[in-house]
Amino acid sequence: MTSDGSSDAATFGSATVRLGRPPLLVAEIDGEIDIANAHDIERFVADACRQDMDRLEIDLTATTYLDSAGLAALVGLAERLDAMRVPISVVAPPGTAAHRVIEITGLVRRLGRVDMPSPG
Amino acid sequence: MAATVAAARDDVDARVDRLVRTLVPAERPADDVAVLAVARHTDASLHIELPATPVHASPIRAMVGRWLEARGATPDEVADVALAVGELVSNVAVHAYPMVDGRVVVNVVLDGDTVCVDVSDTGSWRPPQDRGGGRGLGIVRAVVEDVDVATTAAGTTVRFTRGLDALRTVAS
Repeated sequence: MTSDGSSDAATFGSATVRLGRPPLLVAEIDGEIDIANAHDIERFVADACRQDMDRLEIDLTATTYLDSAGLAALVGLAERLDAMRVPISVVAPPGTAAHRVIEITGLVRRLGRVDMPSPG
Repeated sequence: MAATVAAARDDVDARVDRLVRTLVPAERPADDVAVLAVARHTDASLHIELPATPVHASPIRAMVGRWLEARGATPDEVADVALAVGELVSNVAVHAYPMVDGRVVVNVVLDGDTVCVDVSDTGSWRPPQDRGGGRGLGIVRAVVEDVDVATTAAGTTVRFTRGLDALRTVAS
């Protein structure tokens, strides 16, 4: 993990996670989230969450691969934040790998506010 | 390494054996050794066989994706097939782990404008109730066609197909 004073970043196999700072904790995930790294990514983001923060925003815009292992990690984070009474939102714009899988599985509601506006 | 491989004129298993014997010290190696062998039998098929571990899911997806791209599949088609393959390989890997001898076999065949894929595990270490269930198979059924799960004493094979529009246009 490296720190430049404004954010933390960590690499898990083929993905890099960049964390902002609470009160709005943004977790920007680049690369592939799959069975090899989903659990470690979930734990890394969960460890950064605080009871008194305003919101967790998981930005999957630059995520090039997401499957059921990654969805399980997202649902795990959503459950943890529910218990902390902290809102979660997921950014997965149309045309991204994450948008496709979240739409297929109907997990939009489970993941809190999912920001995936319709095209056009 | 190139000389070792080029000297081999036999099948893939024998090539891998020779490669490992030549390059890896006879005493216990300092690190894990993984040799990936892809046998391209013909232009119309791809065969991948690897230990069924989670870290192999990404390179398998990449190999299948590149193979499809080279044959004119669109980015969406590549993404859908890679997603289906990724789910099925993960399913094998999660149940194989921590068995050391579990392997995953992926065969991709192009039949006209349709790609046919099968993903198999070898060995009978998976309890039947764990085979092919969960959110992963639902995703597979949503992004590809003709999904068929066949379980025998030797293991499980999941087959699917996916039509490739680009090739359909070329063919017509």
